[in-house]
Amino acid sequence: MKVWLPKLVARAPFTVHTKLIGAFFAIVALLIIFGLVVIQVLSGINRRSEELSQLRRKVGAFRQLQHDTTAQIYGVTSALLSPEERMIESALRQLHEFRYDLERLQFVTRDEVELFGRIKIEHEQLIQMITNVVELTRAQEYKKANDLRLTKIVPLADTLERLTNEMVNRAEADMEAKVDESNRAHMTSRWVVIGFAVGSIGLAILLGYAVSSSLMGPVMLMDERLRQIASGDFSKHVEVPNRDELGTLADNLNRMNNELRDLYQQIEAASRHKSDFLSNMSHELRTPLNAIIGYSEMLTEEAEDRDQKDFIPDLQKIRASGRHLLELINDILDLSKIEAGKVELFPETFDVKLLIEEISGTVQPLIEKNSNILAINCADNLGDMYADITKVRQILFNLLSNACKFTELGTITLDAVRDCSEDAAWLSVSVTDTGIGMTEEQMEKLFQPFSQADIQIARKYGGTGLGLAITRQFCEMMGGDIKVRSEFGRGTAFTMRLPMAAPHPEGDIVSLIASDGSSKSA
Amino acid sequence: MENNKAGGWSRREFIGGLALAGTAAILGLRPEPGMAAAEPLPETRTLRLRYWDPACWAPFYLAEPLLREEGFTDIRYIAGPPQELVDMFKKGLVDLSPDFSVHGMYNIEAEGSSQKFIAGLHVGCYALIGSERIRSVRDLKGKTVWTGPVENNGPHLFFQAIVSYVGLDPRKDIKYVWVKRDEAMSLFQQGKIDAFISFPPGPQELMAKGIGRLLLDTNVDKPWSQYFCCMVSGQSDFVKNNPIAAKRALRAILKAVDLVSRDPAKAAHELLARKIVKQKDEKYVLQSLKEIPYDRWREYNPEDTIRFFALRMRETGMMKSNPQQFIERHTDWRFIRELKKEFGITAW
Repeated sequence: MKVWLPKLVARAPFTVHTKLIGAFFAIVALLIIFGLVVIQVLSGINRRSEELSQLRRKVGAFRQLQHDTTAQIYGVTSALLSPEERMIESALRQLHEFRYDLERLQFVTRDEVELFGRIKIEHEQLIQMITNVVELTRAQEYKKANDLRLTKIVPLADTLERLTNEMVNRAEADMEAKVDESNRAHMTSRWVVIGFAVGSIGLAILLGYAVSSSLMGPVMLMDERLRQIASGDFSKHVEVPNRDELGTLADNLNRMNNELRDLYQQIEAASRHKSDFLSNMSHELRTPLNAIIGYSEMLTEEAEDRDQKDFIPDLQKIRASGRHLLELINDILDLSKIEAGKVELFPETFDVKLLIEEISGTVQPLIEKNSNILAINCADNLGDMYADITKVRQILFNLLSNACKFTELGTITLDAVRDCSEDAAWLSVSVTDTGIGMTEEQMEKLFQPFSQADIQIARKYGGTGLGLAITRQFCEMMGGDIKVRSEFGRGTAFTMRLPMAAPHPEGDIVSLIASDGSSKSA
Repeated sequence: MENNKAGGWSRREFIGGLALAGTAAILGLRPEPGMAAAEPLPETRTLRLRYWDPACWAPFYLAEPLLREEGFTDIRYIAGPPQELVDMFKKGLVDLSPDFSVHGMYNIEAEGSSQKFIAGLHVGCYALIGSERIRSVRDLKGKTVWTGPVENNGPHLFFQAIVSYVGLDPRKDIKYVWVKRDEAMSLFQQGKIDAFISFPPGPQELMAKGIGRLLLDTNVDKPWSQYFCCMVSGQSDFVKNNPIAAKRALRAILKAVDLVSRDPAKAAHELLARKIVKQKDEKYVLQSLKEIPYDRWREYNPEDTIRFFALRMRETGMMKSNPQQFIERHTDWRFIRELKKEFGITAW
């Protein structure tokens, strides 16, 4: 039921709106039914209570009848034993009043009619006999009166008393039966109400579960699928059983997936073609450019040798422009190779500290150019690293040259440490400058190709805007990352983090940490 | 279960029975031949009747010749102590039995006895005797009472109904002594028991000796005198499967009731002859049989007895069913109704 019910709801050929309204009305209907049941139960309790009350009145009335019977028999007996006219009149009056009351007795049910009829007959006979005895008494025929009293009146009185007792017993038994019925009905009502309450809650929960699952299940599937599409996986389709808007949405999602896949394949092909083109073009451009740079250097030397110094500045400008152009072409070539997936890593073991010293020497002219100071802090335990040294060198050079470019009369600090975490050793290098810094907005597009912090900076400081993009690509290729934090006008800090042991070409990880914690060569 | 009497009567006893039947015929109690002849023969010729020591059940013991006239050829009297009666009914060892109304109702309600009340037998028979200190039933609050040797026997249950009727709690307000009758009589005479309830001939004997005060005589005191004390019960399956036999047997028993009512001396003598009562008790048994109004079955409604006692038992918590339920499930009045009609009795 856990699975089929949501599926059933999902397959129902109604819109989500209709389903939700339907579920809402179903719950409202349950509440109404529950309310009606409660009202019915309360009505039943009220009805039984009224019936019980009526039966109590009936028992009271019959007991009064019983009491009156006893009282009149006692009265008659007393009157006949001491025959004073006043007593006899009183007894006869009681008898007639009793007859009058009998005629007006309420609550006599159908099955009591026969018994009640017998009471009336017996009473009529009693009145007749008493009248006879009274007449005999008035005629002073006491013996006859007494004989008649003993033989007729006493048995009749006993019978009358017994029959009225039976009336009372019947009424009391009816009341007991009604009390039992009421108790049973109360128990039944209680279970009905509890049953309905539990059933309604259960049904509401089930309905809620079925409807929400039939809606949320596809939504979650589509969400997951969208994440996969966003990460570039166009290989699957989302399958939902819904025949409502969500089903349509899933179909559209699948269609979009197909279109995106086709588009992505086209873009990928175009990108590859672009990279191939750039690669080829760069190669073709570098050949004449090298010739230009080479010849400009030769002409400069020749001009110096012939003491024709007027040409030298122009020749130097030609060479500088050529070098700048070459640098640009190299960057474009690198980036296109990376995007085309043509860059390969050639890991080797090298001493990190020596590499840093070498780079610091290389960037020394750049440091001095803007009158900066370079401070290098290398941890003692840096040791060896197994990675593509060329790429690491280029990363560090890019970071340091950038810092030099945007800092004047400041300090550039390089901190290199080795940290061990997540069961691996990492090289962490931070390059911090006291330069112009960046705003949050500028940092957001920092690692995008061909983009610099803003156009004014590009104009003022020059550069292709490819350096940091290439740097990040190299870091990620080697299993590391790069982060930046900056404060506008106060400086910038780049932190690069690379694994000390790059994945081996065969796929193994070469551990550079000995069991005693010292470094070792891979 | 069956004692030496159960297998059959002695020749002397049988002739005695026939003599009694002859008396019945003289008294005009012989069934009208046309009526009996028109009725089919009983489904079974065997009838098992329970007997035990209450003298008031005399009609049951004396019904044998009348039962033979009704077509029963194998009549067995089976001894049935009260404590074994439920089992006897459940196992179908007995077909018809005299029973104290309240005790039978208790057995059905509490023990699931497989029996149905089919008629009233007689009114009265119980007597409640108190010491000189006790003047009414209400005075028994906090007093010591003997109601039989074991709890929930007939007299005990009847006594509970009596005290609850006057507003006492029979379980909290009364102290009971569970000893045998002879010991109880002795304790009563020593003043260690304040009251006792018993059926004949116990109370009659004490009263004759001037010991104790009669607190309640169910023969005459209302409302108890208005209800059957003892009734006729039939084994449920017997009544259901043998309606003709049940009716014929009841006819014979009711005739025996009339017989005892009209000639109690002969009935007492017969009881003595059959050794159901002891010689020393004959006088008191005769007194009891004379005092018990045996003719009430013609007048009284047995259903109202059940209803009345069911109400009293509900009051004391002895009964869970309500009177109507009990009457519907555990009574069958069709035989007594038909027989009353047959005998020309119009009441009920």
